[in-house]
Amino acid sequence: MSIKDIPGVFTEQGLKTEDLVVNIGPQHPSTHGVLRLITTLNGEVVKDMVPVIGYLHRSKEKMAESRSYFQYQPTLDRVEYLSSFFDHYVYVSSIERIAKLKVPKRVEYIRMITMELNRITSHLLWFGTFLLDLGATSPLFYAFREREDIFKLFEDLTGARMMYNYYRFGGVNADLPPGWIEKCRRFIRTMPEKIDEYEAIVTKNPIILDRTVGIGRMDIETCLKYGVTGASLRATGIAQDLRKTNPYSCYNEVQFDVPVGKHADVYDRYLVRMAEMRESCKIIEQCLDKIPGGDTQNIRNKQAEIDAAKAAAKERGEDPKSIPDLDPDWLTQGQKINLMTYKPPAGEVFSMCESPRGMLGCYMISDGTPKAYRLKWRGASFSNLSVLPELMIGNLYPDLMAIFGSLDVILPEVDR
Amino acid sequence: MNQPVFDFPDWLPRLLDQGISHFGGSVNWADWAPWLTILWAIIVFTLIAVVAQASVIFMVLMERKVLAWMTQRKGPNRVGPWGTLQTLADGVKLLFKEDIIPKGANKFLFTVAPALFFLPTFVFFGLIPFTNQLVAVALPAGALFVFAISSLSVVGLVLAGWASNNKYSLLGGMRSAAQAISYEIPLVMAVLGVVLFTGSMNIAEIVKAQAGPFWNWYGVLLTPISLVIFFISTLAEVNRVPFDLPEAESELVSGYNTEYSGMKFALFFLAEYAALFAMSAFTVAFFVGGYFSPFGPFITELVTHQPADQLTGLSQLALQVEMLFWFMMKTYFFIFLAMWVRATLPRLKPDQLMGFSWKFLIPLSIINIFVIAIEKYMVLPNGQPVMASLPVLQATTVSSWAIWVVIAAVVFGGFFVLMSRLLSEKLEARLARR
Amino acid sequence: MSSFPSPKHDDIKENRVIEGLKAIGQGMSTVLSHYFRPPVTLEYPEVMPDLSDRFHGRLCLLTKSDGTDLCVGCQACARVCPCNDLIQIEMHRDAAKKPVIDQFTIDIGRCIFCGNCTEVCPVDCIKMLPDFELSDFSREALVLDKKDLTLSGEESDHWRLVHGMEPLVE
Repeated sequence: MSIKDIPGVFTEQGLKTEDLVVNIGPQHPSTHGVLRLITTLNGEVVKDMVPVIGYLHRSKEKMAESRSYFQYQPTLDRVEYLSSFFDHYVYVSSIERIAKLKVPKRVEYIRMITMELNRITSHLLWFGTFLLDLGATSPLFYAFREREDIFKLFEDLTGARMMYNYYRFGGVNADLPPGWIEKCRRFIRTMPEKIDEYEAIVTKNPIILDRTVGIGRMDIETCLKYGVTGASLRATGIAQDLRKTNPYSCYNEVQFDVPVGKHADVYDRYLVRMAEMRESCKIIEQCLDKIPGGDTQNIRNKQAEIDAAKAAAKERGEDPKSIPDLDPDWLTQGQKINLMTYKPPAGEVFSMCESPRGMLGCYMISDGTPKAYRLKWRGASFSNLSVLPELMIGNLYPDLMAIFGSLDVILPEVDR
Repeated sequence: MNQPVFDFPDWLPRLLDQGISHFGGSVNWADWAPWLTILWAIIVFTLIAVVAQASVIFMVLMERKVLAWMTQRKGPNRVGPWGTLQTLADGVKLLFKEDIIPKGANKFLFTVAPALFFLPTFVFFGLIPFTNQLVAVALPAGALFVFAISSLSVVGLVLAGWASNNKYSLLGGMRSAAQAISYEIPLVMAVLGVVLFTGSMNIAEIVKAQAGPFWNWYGVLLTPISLVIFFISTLAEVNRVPFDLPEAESELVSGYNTEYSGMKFALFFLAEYAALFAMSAFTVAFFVGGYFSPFGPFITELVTHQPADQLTGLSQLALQVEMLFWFMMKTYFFIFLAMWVRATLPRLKPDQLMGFSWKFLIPLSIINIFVIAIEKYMVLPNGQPVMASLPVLQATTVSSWAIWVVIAAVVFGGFFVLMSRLLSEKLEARLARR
Repeated sequence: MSSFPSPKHDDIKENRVIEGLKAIGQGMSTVLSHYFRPPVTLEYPEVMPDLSDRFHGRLCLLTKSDGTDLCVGCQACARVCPCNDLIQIEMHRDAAKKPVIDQFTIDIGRCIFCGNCTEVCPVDCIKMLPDFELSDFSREALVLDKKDLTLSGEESDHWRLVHGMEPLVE
C-alpha cells in the first residue's frame, strides 16, 4: 500500500490540498476593535477575505432621532473616540449652516487648534499601534507619552481627557483658561523633535522597509471606486485634503502643505501620516499666534477696562453705549441659545471635515422640532475598510498586519 | 591538552583543613582524594544549578525593568523592594493556575514537550566555563556537544505545536522549527572560526587561548563579524525579537504555546530565559574572553603582587570570585544587548527570516571562514593571538596584518555590495509589480 | 502639495547593508537615550494627579452659603441628560410656593460625565467636582441620592471661589 492508495490524498493533479478557512477575530490583539475577518488561506496566500462588521453597532444614527440636539451631543464623542473633536465639528457646523448662526472668529481658531491637536493624538495612537502590530514595542510608549501631554492640555481646556463635549452651536463651552496658549505653545515647540525621534527608530529601519515597501499597493481607480479618503488616498499621489479643496472653519487663513506619497504602499501611508503630524504642528503654531484676542487674561483685562469706562461714562451722564463693546470676534459664543429647547429651522445639509482617517461627513435633516429628523454619518473608516479584501487577495497572510494597520481603521466609526 | 575531565582545585582541601583543624583534627587528603572529587562535583553542580535558576529568575525581572526604563517608565516596583519578588509572585500565580489539557490533545506528548524543551538548556549549563576551575565538565568536544544538544530543544517545540491539537499552534511549531534549523548553521559556522583559531573544541581551552587584555579576545579584533553572526543567530535560536514570530501575539495568537497554561507555560517561559543566559554565556566564552579581565592582569593579581597561577588558598578563592564577576558582567552585558534589541526592532516576517538566514548569514559565514583561514596563517603563526605580546611592531607582523586587512575588506566589501544590489532589486521588483 | 523624499530605492552609491546597519544603530541609540531620562510614571495612589478646575468628576449639588437647598426642581438637568432617565427628581411646593426637593437621585454607574446638566442649570446648582475615585462594591451603592450629592454651605462657597463666582448669600 503506497501513499497513492490512501483515499482522498491524491487526485489527478497530484497531492490533494485544501484551503484553510481561518477566522481572525472578533477578539484579536490587532484588529483595532472588534472586526471579524473570514479568511480563506491556501498555504500562506490569501484567496478570499470577508470582513464581518457590526459587533460595535450602537445605533448612533437612530439615537439622534429620539434626543434633542444638545442632548445628543455627548454621544458624538463616542462615535469615534480618537477624533471626538471632528465628530463634534461636523455636527455643530451642520446645525450652524442650517440655522445660519454666526460663529465668532476666536471660536473658529479655538476649534482649529483643538482639531489639529486631536489629529496629532489620533496619528500618535495610530503610529504606536501600527508599530506594535509589526513587533516593535517601544514606540507605543513614546507616542503615549506625547498623548499624555496633549490630554493634559485638553483637560485644562474642557475638563475631560478624552470625551470633550466642548463645541456648542455657534461657539464653544468655555473660553481658554488663562495661560493655556503659552502651555500649548511650549508643547508644540517640542513636538517636531519628538517626531524626529520616532522617525529615527522607524523610517530607515531595514526590517520596516522590507515589510512595508511595495506591500499593499492601491491604484487610484481602486481608491476612487471604494471611496477611500484620507492619508491612504494621499499616498497614491492625489492631493485630496478637504482643508485645501473645500476650506472650512478658518483653514484658508493658515499656511500648511499637504503631504503626498508616490507609490501608494504601506510605507508611503506611514510617511504621509508622519508628515501630517508635522503640518499639524505648523497649523497650531500659526493659530496660537493669530488667535483673535490672544490669551484669555488679555480679554478679561480688556473687558474690565470697558466695564470701568462704561461705569465712568454713566456717572458722567453720558450714554454708555458710546463706549465700543468688546470686538465680537473675541467672544466664545455667537448668539445666545437656549440649549434645552433649541429648534433649528427645517432644512438639510451635508457637512464634512477632514478627520485623521479621511472625509468625515454628517448629513442632517431637521424639521423644525427640537429633535433631528434624520442624521447620517459618513464614516471614513467604513470606506477605508471596504478596500481591505481587494488589497489582501493574492498577498501573503503575514502582510495582513502591515496592510490593515496602515489603513488606520477604527471600528466604532465603521459600525456606529 | 591532557586536562582531566574532572578534578578538584587545590584550595578545597586547604579550606577544609582550616575548618577541621579548628575542631582539632587532621586528615590525610591523599587517601580521601576520591571523596574530594565527589564533594567538588556536588559543589560545582549545585552552584551551577543555583546560578542558573537565580539568573533566570533575575532575568525575568531584569527584562521588565530594562524595557520599562527604555520607555521612560518604572518597571515592577511594588512587590518586594524595587520589585525583586515579582518573578516569585508570577511563579506562584502560575503554579496556582488550572492545568488545562485540550480535549483532542495527546496527553503524554503535551506534558513531555515543555520538559523536552527545557532539559537540553540545563544540560549545557554544565559546559559553561564560569572560571578556570568552576566548570562542571570540560569536555574535549564541548563546542560540538553544545550545538548538538541545543538541537534537541527544537524537538520539544515541534512536539508542543503538534500535541496541542490546534492549527495555530501547529503552524507556530512548524515555523519555529524551520527558524531554529535555519539559524543553527550560521551559529555553528561562527564558532567554527573560533575553533580554527584555537585548534581545540574544548570550551575551557578556547577561553584560555584568549588570555590577556581585551584586544586578545577573538570577537574584538580578530573576528568581530563572527561575534555579530553568533549573536544574531543566538537571538534567533532563543526566539527573541526580531525573530519571535513563533510566539508573536499579534500574528497567530501565541504560536506553539497557545494552549499551555500554568506551570507548563512557566516551563517554556523559563526555558527561553535559561537558553538566553546560556547562549550569552557561550558568546562570552567563545568571543569575549570568558572570565578574563579586560585590563589584562586581574585585580587580585595586582593586589597580591603574584601571577594568577601561583595564588593559593584564600587569595585563589578571591581570584575565582573575581573571575566569576568578570564572566557575569560580560554575560549580562549581552543579555542587556538582547533586551535592548527587543525594545527597538520590529519582527521579521517568515520569508524575511528564512531569507535573512539562508541568503545572507550563511554566505557571510562561509566567506568569514575563508577570511579567518587566511588570517590564521598570516597573522597567527603559532595559533596564539599575536597581540598577546605588545609591543608587536615586527615588520613581518605588521605587513601580514595589512595584507590580511586588505583581503578582508575586499571580500566582505564585495559581499555587502552584492547583497545591497540584490535587496534593491527585490524592493524595485515589488514596486514595479501591479 | 508637497512630496517628501522617499527612500532612495535606486541609488547604487548607497549600500543598503551599511545603511541598514546604520539605521538600526541609530534606532537603538535613540531607544537607549530614553534609558537615561527620568520616568514619567505617576505613582498613584501615593501621588495624586494634578487635575484642572474644570475636571468632569463626580456630580454634586451646591447649596447657598448658609446650607439651604438651592435646587428649584425645574428638571432641566434631567431633560438634557443623554442617558434619558439617569437623573430622577421629585419635588413638591410647600405652603409658601417654594420648591422642596423630595428625591434627587443620580445613578453614577450609568453617568457618562458629559457635563450637560451642569450647563443648563438656571441656578448654578448641579456642578462637577474633581473626584474620580468613585468605585464601590455593588451597583446599588453607585446610585447617589440627595444626601450624598449635596455639599455643605462652606464646600459650596469653596467651589464657587475656585470657579470665580461670588458666594451665594441670599
